[in-house]
Amino acid sequence: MSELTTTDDTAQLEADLRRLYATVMAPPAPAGWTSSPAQIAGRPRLRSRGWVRAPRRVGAVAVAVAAALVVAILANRSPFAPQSVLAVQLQPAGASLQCELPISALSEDHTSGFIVMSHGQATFQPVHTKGTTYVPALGVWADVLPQMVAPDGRAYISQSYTYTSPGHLTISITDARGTRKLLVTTEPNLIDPFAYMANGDILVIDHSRPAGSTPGPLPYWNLKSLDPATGALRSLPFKVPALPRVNSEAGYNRNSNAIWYMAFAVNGSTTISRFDMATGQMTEWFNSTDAVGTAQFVGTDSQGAPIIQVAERDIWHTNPAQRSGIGIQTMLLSSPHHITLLNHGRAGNPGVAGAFSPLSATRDNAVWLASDDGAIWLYRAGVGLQQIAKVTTSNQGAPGVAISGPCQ
Amino acid sequence: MSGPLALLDAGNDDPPQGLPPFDDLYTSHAANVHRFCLSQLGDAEAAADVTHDAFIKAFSAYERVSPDPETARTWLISIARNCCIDYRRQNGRWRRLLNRLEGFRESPLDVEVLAHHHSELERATAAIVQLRTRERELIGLRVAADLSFRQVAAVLGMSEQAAKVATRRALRKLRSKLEDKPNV
Repeated sequence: MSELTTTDDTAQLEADLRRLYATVMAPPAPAGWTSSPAQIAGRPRLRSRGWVRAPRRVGAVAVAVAAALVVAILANRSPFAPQSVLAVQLQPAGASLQCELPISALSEDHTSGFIVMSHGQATFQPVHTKGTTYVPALGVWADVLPQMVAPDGRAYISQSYTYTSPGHLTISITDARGTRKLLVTTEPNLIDPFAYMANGDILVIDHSRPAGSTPGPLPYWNLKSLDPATGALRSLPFKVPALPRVNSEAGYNRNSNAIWYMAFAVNGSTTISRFDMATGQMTEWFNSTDAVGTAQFVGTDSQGAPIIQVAERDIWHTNPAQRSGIGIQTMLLSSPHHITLLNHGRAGNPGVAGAFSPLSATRDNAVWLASDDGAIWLYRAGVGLQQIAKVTTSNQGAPGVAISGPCQ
Repeated sequence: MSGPLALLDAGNDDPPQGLPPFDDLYTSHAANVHRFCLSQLGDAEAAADVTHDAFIKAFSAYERVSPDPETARTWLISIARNCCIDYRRQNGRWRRLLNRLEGFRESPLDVEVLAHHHSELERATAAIVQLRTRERELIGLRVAADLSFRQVAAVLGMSEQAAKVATRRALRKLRSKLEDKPNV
């Protein structure tokens, strides 16, 4: 799901942290700061502590490296041999699948590659890339979010900012012919891309203020569509309401061609509303009468029906022990206030889907999802939600992976 | 020659025409650079050292780079980020090795030296420095260095949208840590 998030439940924490750090004063400037370089060069070094400790560090490093070599030799393997950073275990529900699923690990090593499922077995084929999204028609990994890839997978868009005065924002498109500039805008009238829309145009937000508007936040987003072939900008036929200022988030989803708004109440309940990009109509789809808890939008099926998760309290704990035992439901919203329960239980229990990443991938009848415990899940209409594989990543950083594209 | 002081041999005495005195740069941005370093290192003394190191490196390159006033802070923060990475790499390795070889135990965070009367800041910094490198940097750049998402994206070499999403996730993780350990 692409995100137009301007405020959410972390906004208050961010504001509090900024206020705390604003109380920290700078250290005094060194004497002679404005003197010539020659004079500066003659003054005592500032980082005395580092120099004092340096010899001790060197000695310790030498001893430790030697110790590591001994241990490695005793273990009968080279200390420099590449270590397997990702292992895959196929679950029974995945035994009949024949496809390659691109994933990107959330661990410190950021391993990316393909889970190859074939003849009842799964193996991992790593790739050397800095990209996190696989662009299938081009056969490349791109360092962009999945919504920046065209619906047909034949192109993707990226953006870069140039720190000139004034600054420039360049939106570029990459396809089989290469990379070329699509639109360049200048501060303060920048135009940010968000996602390819269902019709193949690019959804952008125009930050320029309309003539005659009053100061302060606008009550709507100045969204436009950008033609990827010509770079032409077009206004949308209706105004898209902006978020309230706190405890809410919103994002565009291509499958449903809608912007989904989520409002989080202080009592832990969530209201989800859909803004139809074809008609400009807003409709409430989910509220506390459907289920109580903090809801997250994790994907859509091929018909554009959202898949959400509702947890009885914040499921986003880094420590699995803290997440364990939290009640969590995964459900399909096929129409307003019409819920199909796909999975439920206590986090950490066998067969219970953990918190899903919103970076899901939908292709044909299949929705691929990854949970924070390293499990890969597949939702198919008529079949339901099934765990397909379990991925074990290195123990450095977060466990689990992100889906980098559909399995094909 | 090697080390930061060797770099100071280059440059002219007088800044090029139109380039503000380096002293102005320090006055305008030292607090943000220092806050960022504190958020990354969790140690007031180390943060002050690294802040000075960053400005020494910046001073040596100031005339050559001639940063615009609008880009100066991002440029300084980028230098500080590299200095923090170097510091953590050396200090982290040193501490880990001593842990293994001598049973060395990490001393408590030194933020109380700076902020003994800022217990909330101490608690927040202690939690931030436990995050993964990228998460720590995102939060430090956003709230301590007070950069816009566009500037954060430029420093970390990622898209602005990716920076927004990743920062939000990092803040959620930080919130969980703070909730886990209310008395850190």
